[in-house]
Amino acid sequence: MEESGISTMSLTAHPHITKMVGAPRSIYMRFPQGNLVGQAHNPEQQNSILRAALEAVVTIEETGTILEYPERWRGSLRSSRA
Amino acid sequence: MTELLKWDFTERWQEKWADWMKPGGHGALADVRNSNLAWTPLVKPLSECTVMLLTTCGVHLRAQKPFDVMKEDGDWSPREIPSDTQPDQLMITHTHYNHLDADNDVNCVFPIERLPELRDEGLINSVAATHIGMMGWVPNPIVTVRDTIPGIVAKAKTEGVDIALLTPG
Repeated sequence: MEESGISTMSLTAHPHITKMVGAPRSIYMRFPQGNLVGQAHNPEQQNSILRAALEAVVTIEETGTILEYPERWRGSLRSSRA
Repeated sequence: MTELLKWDFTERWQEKWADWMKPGGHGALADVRNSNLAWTPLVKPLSECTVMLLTTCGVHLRAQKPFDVMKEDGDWSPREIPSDTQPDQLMITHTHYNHLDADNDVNCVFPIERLPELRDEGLINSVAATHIGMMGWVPNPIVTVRDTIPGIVAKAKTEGVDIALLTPG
């Protein structure tokens, strides 16, 4: 996609794999698979993650960059397992 | 603005990679690495950009053919999802992660309702007319690159996409 002029941003739960496979821009989410854009029915959190991902498309200047989202998953709030 | 942290490929992470690639391990199914990372910097402000979602979470329209999760070499076919689709018209077919939360709120993995909110706030200019759903379990993703990505890129270019946001399951 990048070769075709489209900038990409990936979310990842496995930054070591992302690092070795290679992706232009990535954000490591310390969230479980199935929730990388946040908790169910938590639009504020989902909005924050999406916003951070898009803003980082502007700020990341080097291909292969992986950044980390500062918030950690709070498992007790997982709606489907509560 | 959320301040993102620096992430380093420390020894602990390198050990996790070695485990992943061990014979019999998941990563050993296919050692696929990008030898050259292409790069397209944004050439205009984010507020002028069109954004598409590209997810491997296994989401598709209920009316579309589900992904074939029994196929030994995976299912790398894409599903076009109109961006004005209501969440109750979507479902997830994927057997390699827990999507209980996403079954209740698809935005956990495919933020189709969040992206228009950011457009309305002015962070981005527009949402692409079409998002893409895929099912991420494909042991050798070379076939995805060969068979699937060219069509997705063509669709995205037709719709004037500047940024593709990739979300896994």
